[in-house]
Amino acid sequence: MFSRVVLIILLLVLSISVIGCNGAHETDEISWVISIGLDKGNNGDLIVSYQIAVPLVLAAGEAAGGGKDKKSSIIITVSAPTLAETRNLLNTSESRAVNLSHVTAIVIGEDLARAGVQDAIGALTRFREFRGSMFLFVCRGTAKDVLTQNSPQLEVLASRWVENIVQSSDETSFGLPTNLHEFYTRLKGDTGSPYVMAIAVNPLTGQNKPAKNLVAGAKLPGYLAGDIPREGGNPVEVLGTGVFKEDKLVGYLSNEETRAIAILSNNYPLGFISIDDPLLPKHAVNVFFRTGRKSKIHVDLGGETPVIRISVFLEGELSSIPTGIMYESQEYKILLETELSNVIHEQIINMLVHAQSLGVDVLDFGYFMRPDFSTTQELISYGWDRRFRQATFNVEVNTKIRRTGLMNKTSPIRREE
Amino acid sequence: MDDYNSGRMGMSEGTALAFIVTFPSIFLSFPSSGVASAGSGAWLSEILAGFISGVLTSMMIYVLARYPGDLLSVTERLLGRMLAYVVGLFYFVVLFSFAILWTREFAENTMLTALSYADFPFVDSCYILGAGFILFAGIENVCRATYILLPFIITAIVLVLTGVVPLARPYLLLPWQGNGLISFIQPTLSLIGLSGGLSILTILAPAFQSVKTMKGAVLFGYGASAVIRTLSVATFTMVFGANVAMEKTLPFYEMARLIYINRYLQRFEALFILLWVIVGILAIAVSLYGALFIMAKLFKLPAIKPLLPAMTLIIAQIAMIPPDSNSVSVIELMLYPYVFAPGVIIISSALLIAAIVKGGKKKCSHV
Repeated sequence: MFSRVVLIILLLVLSISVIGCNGAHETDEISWVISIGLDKGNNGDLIVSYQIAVPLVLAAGEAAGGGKDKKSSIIITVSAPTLAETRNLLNTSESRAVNLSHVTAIVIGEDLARAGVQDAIGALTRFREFRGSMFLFVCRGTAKDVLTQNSPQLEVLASRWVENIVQSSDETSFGLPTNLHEFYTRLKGDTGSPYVMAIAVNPLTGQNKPAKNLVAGAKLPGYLAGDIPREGGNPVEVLGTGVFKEDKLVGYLSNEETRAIAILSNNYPLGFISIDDPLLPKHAVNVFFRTGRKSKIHVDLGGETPVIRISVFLEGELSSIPTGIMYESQEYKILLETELSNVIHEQIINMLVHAQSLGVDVLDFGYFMRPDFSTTQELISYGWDRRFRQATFNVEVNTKIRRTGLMNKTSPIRREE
Repeated sequence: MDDYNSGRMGMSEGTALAFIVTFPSIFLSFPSSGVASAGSGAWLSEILAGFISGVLTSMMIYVLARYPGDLLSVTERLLGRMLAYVVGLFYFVVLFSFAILWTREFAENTMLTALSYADFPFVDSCYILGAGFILFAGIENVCRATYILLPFIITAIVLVLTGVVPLARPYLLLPWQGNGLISFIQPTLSLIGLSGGLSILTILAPAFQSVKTMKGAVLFGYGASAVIRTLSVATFTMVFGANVAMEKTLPFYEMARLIYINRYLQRFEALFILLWVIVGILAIAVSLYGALFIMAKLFKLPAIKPLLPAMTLIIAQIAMIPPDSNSVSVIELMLYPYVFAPGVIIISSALLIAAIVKGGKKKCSHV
């Protein structure tokens, strides 16, 4: 009897002590930070912009007092030597406890990124509230501007905008989703260079400011974030890639270079491209294309300098032939396949040469040579970073147009004789 | 003695016992320290250690198959009373150390991940008191409970490993020699020392229905544990790469945190905290029972249950002695490879040699 009483008492004590409420906060006692912007401040300070969700607007809308003019998030910018101290300072003005476990995006300002992110990211991988799955962006300009000017009209909450824009980036592969885990493992890895998505504020003037010359046969030049000829909509746009050498930003890759990376790293699900009509180059042919099989990469270390052999196979579906030329037929189709192969080949080569000139192995070709070494020390002493700059590329692109869309031939438009 | 002899344990209980006493390392910093030493070849040291530990345990079972009784009584017959005491004390230290170190490590990890506002003595006490409390039900019941949980534990591990597959890069397991073959020695010995916990099967030998039961328990229980440990270390290395993997305090937790299927399916790690708390308490309970069993045998005590409250308090106190969590890892890296592993290897080999030298007895089917 006594043991049963003891058992019951113990179970009661246990059930009270293990219910998980130790140190718990109710959700209405917490400020949920959804994005963080990091900029370089004066005297080594960090300028940190916190985007905090306003749950009242989200939860109950107008019924609870949240009107149309009320924003679903607020932005507070604090300066201090470290991220932790800015959080402390933030807590002095916010009645609710600041919590970072729902941060979806970290935006790094260009000045800070060029100076090096070592000090800024120290906490991101060690403190439990940050997660490896947070998306990273580097911005042309300041992170504060990006956060304050970001005004998505289709999304209520900024964190949803981040998730959706990252998710939908595979529609074009003009931006490559990068999370903290991927960035950090590249930063610390034996080979490869870190990269993140580029983000910027577009002035919305409609001015055309291409960053790259048009590749022969292509219709769209390369753009960097913030330079697209555009008016209206959200001023903030995600486009291209910021590439890092060690922990410092060294340059940007354009949208077409980013797509080339996606193709080579097998992260290109499907997307459109407009190319010159091979027989009437002033007209465009649209192809909806994908990688038909995984891109093959082989790094040959046999010679004086490494030779990187790349083989890409693309499959396409015709989505527009305005000229009436019978590209659906076998003899003409081959012209189109060659044209697309040439365009993608040149874009890949341009990207590789650009990356090589920046000294960044953005595709981590060094990964493919790991089987050639017996120990890590041998791998490191090979000096991949130096060798990569001397590497030669042998790129082969083949295309097969598999489908002709909803039309299997094109009749010419009737014109008056 | 009959008061604490645990009756007839079958294959299920034995399998659960072999699994739970060798598995907790996966939730602690062991994979990271293995990668820190062996680099990208850490997964090979897991395979190597799994094989060697399996052979060492099989050697002991081989001896028990010829000489009925438990490890201590057989050691007494083969090597004399004095050495039987030494062997008994050695395995007491092994199992008692596991109980202490795991109590501290699981408590630290719980504070690090879930209960950051809790007082350390409270969390520390919860683990060891929880373990002591369930031991009142007896080792058979603890093992049965573990066996019931095994499918859930294994499924959860497989889910985490599958969840991070999109981030895995297989060539990060290469170069296969990692930091060089010499660098395999320390992590392999550490893992052999860790599998010293398997001795609990031979210590409880009379509780098993037959030698075949014990063999099956080692094969399935320890086999599953070694395979999953190897897969976990390989996946961990493929996901993080050796340079980042060696930085991690909690490899399994970090992998669980990385699972991001879409915006609705993410943040699973909270579920896995429960998993390791359960595994931790069961592992502490089993190792504590093993230590108490040896103590009772050595000092010819009539029962072990009265020892439980005192021992749990002692463990709770000792677990709080190391000044910080890294000190616990340092102690582990001293004890496992340089004390426990040589002891396990020497005792197993000595018993086998003595059994062969004094041999001639027929195999017995029961122990």
